[in-house]
Amino acid sequence: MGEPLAIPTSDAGGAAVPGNEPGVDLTQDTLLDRAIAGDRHALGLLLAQHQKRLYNTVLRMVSNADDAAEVTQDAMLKIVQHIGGFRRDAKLTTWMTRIAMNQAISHLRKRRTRDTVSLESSGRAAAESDDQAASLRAALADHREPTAEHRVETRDSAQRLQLAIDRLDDEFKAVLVLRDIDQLDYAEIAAALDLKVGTVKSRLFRARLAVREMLRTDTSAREDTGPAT
Amino acid sequence: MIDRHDPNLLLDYLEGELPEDVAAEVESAMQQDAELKRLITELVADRSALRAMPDAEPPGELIEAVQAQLEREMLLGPPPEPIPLSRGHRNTQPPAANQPSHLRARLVFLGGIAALLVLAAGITLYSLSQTSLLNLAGSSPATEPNHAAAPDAFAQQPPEFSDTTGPVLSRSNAVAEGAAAPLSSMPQPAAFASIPGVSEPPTAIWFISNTSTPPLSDATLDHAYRLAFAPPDATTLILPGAPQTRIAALGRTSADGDSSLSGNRTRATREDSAAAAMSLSDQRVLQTPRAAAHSSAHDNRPRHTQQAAIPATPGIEQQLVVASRDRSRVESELRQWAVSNRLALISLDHAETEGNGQSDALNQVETTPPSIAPPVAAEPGLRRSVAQRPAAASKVGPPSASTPAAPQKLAPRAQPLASADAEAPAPASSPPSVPQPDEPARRLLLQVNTAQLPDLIGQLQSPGRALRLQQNLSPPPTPTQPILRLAEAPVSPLALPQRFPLSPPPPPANIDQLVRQDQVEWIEVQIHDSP
Repeated sequence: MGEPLAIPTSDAGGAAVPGNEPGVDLTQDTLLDRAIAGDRHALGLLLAQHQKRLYNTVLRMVSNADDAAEVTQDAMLKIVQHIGGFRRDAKLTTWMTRIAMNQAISHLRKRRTRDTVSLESSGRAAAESDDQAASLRAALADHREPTAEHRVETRDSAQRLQLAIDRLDDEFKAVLVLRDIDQLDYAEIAAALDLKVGTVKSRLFRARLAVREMLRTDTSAREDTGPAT
Repeated sequence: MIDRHDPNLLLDYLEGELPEDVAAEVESAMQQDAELKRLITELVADRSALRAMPDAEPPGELIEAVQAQLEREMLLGPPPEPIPLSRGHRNTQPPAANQPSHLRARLVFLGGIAALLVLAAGITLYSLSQTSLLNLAGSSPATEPNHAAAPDAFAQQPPEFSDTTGPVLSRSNAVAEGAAAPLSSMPQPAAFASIPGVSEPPTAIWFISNTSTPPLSDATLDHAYRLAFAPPDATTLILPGAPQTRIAALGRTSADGDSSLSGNRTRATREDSAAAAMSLSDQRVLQTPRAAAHSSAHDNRPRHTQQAAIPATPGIEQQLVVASRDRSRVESELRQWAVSNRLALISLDHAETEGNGQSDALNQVETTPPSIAPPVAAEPGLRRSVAQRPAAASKVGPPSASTPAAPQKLAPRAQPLASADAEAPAPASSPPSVPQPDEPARRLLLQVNTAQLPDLIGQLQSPGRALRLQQNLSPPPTPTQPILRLAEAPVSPLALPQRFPLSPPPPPANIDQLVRQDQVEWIEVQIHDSP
């Protein structure tokens, strides 16, 4: 732990990453070998390669940039702590994704408890509202610190998609995110979430239907409330 | 014809994983089913939109934050929260003080329940332990094998002998010194299974092993000894002295002089049993209260528990004294004991008293309170050897302050044990079961480890024999202090007191010859904690 992690200043998203030595390119396998052997510089380069993907995966899960940064940081910390025990029985991507997803789900559970408390204490009026769309938006919104995107009305389809994803249960959300955001195949998703492939497919289809239903409902609500606003 | 409600089929179509022919069938069905077509179209659009969602750029200092957190954990241990990033870190885990009141109330409620559960569990365990002790004290029929044969053994407890001392036969010294042996080193009940004369598991041994237990009643101790050590009709003398000292004497001889274990155990007589138990080290002969008064009474029931104050001997917590007049049996059993149990023997001491004085002493005890002989300074690890002990008080009545200065009565003898036998009255002329005032009582002093206690007791207990057990001597043997086995003990046990050199090892002991030729009536065992 004495040797610091490598902190690349340039984009490290490629398969070949500049190594320590000038003119030497290190493949991901080489970096992984070195990282497992305790090379903190190689580990830093590996993390730099995967941090964007991990961050976006987590971001789709937690729907908040700051939370995503924290969760990604925690996930990377666990990766650093456990890279020595990585046995290559799964792809490094899958292994990292699994760690990140576990961190994200854990974070969501904590946040759900907090949000539930917040809604119980201050949102009873909103909960009793007949306006389903308003209630939905209230539930989807991040009450703690809305991002700039959430302060404005979500007209963009991507934003509405994200709101719909947010409403999914964690197990469905994780499958959908890994499939569409990370674009993992069924086997990788199954490995990352410790599920069977059949379960992955079932959840994926149900998640798509749920998202579609929520988007349809949201669209209807927007159309109903549109003239008033 | 496809099943429009088959989710796998639709999913595979959405994911583009269907064969062309099947995909064509789906598209054909979509043409015929507007609702299906609309749903699939929307799902495809959603999927495309999801995949087209732009990636966000992670914070630039993400890896730096990881590195900082690693360093922090290295220095301070895992923090409760990750190190915040520079931008917009918010505490996602509000402190307890900021939690809603109903959450705090729930936490307090759950904490209270947990505390109550812990308290209830503690009380239950404590109650169970106390109940177990009480049961072992004789309330359970399963642990009272001697009551039927000894109807007055407990009922006629003399009130003047009520126990008011602290933990008896305990290991309080060891506890106080932080040198208490672990529980596992104590004799386990199973270890007593093969002890002759013990018909019930001697669970009572636990009574005398734990100072945390409340002071034990005399009846409890008596019962414990009966279960653990004594043959069914033996006489038990428990002598409460200072809180940390007790002497228990077990002895039994038969009325007709047959003192062998194979003889009739139930024919032990009071006077013989009482006379068989005494404490040479304190120069007092102990008796049961009715021994002298009922010298003519011959019943087959065990005697009372007799108690008398004796001085506390520093460093000695337990003393179990068993008087023996069955010399031949002592010899054979000692030999068997040494061979079969591989007794860890540190030293072997032997002495004889000038007359056992038992009969006289019985009367003296009846009329004269036992006086205290000041303890003689002992060598480390060998608290008080036989030779350092004053002579028996049988001839002088109650011991006086000058009594300890009479070591000449137990002076070391240069002659072998066989010579001692020559000095002693012949067993044939003196029935072993009948105490003779001038009959010498011969004694062996053994030092063993605590681990050998069950075997020792099992092997040495015998009618008509005195066995003294001194436990928890200090300092205990150290690992660098090898323990001599009995077979390695020197042959010269008559040079008293004697600590045998440990290096080089002494020649093999002629213990067989020793015990065969000697008329051992007293076996004093000093028990050390197992290192």
